[in-house]
Amino acid sequence: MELLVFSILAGLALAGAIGVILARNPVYSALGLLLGLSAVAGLFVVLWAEFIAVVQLMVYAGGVLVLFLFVIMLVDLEQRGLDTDAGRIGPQPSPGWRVAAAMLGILFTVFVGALLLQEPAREVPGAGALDAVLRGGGGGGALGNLEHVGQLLYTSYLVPFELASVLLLVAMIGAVVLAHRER
Amino acid sequence: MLELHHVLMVSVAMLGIGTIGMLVRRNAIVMFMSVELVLNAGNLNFIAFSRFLPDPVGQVFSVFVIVIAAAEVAVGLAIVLALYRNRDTVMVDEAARMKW
Amino acid sequence: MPEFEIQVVLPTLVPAAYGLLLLLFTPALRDDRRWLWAVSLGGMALAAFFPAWLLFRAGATGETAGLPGRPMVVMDPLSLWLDLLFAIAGFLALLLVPAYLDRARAHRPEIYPLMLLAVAGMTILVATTNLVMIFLGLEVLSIPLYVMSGLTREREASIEAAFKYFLLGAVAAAFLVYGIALVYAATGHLDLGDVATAAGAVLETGGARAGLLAAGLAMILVAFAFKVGAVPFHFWAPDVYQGAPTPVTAFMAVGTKAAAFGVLLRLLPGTAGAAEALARRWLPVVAALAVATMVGGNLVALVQVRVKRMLAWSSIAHAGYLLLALLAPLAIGARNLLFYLVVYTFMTIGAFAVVSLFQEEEGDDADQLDRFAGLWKRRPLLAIAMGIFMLSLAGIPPMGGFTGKYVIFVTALRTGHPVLAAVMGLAAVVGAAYYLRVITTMFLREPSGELPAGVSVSLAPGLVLAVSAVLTIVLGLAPGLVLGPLGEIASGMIGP
Repeated sequence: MELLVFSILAGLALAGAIGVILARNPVYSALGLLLGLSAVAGLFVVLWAEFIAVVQLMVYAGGVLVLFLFVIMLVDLEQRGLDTDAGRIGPQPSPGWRVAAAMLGILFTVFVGALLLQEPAREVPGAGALDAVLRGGGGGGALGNLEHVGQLLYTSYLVPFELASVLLLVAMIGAVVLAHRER
Repeated sequence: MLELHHVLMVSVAMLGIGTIGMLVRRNAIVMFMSVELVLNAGNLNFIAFSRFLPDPVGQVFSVFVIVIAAAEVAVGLAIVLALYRNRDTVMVDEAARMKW
Repeated sequence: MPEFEIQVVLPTLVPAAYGLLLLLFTPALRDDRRWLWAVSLGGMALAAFFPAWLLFRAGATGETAGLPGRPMVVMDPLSLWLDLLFAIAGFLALLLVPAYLDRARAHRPEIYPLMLLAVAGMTILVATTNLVMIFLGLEVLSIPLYVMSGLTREREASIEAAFKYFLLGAVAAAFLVYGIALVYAATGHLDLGDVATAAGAVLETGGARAGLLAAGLAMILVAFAFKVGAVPFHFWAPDVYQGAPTPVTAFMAVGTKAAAFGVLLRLLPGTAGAAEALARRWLPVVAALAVATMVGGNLVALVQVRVKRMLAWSSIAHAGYLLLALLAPLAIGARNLLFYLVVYTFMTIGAFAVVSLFQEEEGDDADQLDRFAGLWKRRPLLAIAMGIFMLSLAGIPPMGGFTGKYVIFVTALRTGHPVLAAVMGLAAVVGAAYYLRVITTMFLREPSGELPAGVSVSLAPGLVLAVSAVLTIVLGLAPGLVLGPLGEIASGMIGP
């Protein structure tokens, strides 16, 4: 059952990802990204990371994708119609380069995949307690998934957490500086 | 029974699709989306290892990855917008006015 | 959990807090640009003061936050020396900013807080052994740099530089994440100390996990190779260096490189120290990168006709020399690397400072080599300063650049890399050609055409030129002043 749900979600995620790079129209790419990232959020749930799944949906679907669509609309619809690849001015990269690049990418993937997949599924001794934690609920006073992640974030990982807040502020200001129009 | 290598297959496939997208596409926004795919592949790894190791630290890392992806998107799209205003294009080839 | 010692995070906290405060006041002070500039210079001076103070107090090591034995932030001589270097580079670059922006007619007060925040990011990057912090530090350093590269939006090249830098930076970050995930998978840890320990066991059993570890470390290495601009991950660098505002280019060339090499210094010998087998795997990779970078950078620099772009390629070549320093045993390699970074800081910022003065009235750089013709007859002091930087970059005694190259060369020779040493020697000789061409252009050719309007040296850029030139010579004549204290670095390093 778990495997079945996983397979469906994985199929959706990969379909979305392929859609991103194949679609000629960036709007469709963005929709492919939406499908892919939402399916990845589903995978997170299957992998017992509900909190991350919710964050993923909120940040990606709610924030990042809206931003992407927003910029695509601003950039493309303004002057040159929907299909940027059809309406492009500059030289198209030669088909040879495209094929070569795609081959390079596939080769790289196969290489990494070969390295990764020779890893046998491994059983870690003494994993039972942590298993319960990650599964959430835990029972018997043990912390659930969200509580555990939260506790790590605010103790051991407090410094990086603060750093991330600084980073968000810097990014926001940087975006404003670059994008605002001089009056 | 769900095994680690199932997840790894998905993650590697996503890494590959993202890498190919970065190499083949010339639309800045789409290239940027491909980068997001690779980031998500990494995140999927973290979550998978976090479950199968098992160790919640992987989940903590993926929170940071999502945060940083959001920050990058904000800055990156601002740059694309500024580029477009200057140049009327979002195609990387057209942006390449400088030659070595 | 150990007590939180504030002094350990001071080198990061000071520039970060100062930068954020400055950000708060920037809108109010938009029109008081000189004032804002002076305040940010003060902040940069503070950012330099604290690491220096901590460094010259005895027993300057410490760690804080995180689980016991797995600190998030460490403070040791390596991090403090690099912090000091970042702040000095930032200070010198800031001195160049107003003159440049004024002539470019681009009034961008945001550059001051962003520069401080970038320094904060660099200090994080070198003061940690945790991969989470390394990832975050890299982003805190990079995002302000993306924005600063594009600040002179009026110049097309500037926004293009920001775009390319951003795209490549994002790719590097994505690979870094994937690499860290693999390392985490292989070892179950994110702290480099634990990773190194676990790596030993993993490699002993060999098999699949070792493959994961190797793939992960390789991807992390690729991410940092992007950041230092090592061949073949360099293709963004010339465009970005040429397009970015020149003071930002100077800061970026020095700061990013120093920060990335600081991380590599902890990462590679650290993990390899724990596992001989791992060292055998990564040493050839780094050696190959070093050779490609030295040769590629120097050869392409030969054909450049714009000085700024030539300096960009030269900076790629210098990354190659630095990679070579990384191959030596940690004790001596760290010293050589740091010494070269110190010298490199002054000669590179000096050279870019000269270039930043060559600018058209409406903002575009006027850095074509022809513009430098006969500079000796028109601005003798400027020509002498540029001459000093070029001689030093070429590695001609008695300049600091010679000493830096010499120690790396001799170490490579003595630690069993004679071929690499020979390649370095040849590359440096080829490299000398294009630096000397600048000198012959300045001193032997007749002046032709108009000098760009900017080439009248005001106080602040003059100060940068004077300080850089004097220190470049001093480091060449009395290298012991810095080499001595730097010798202690490796022994004081916390972490793997």
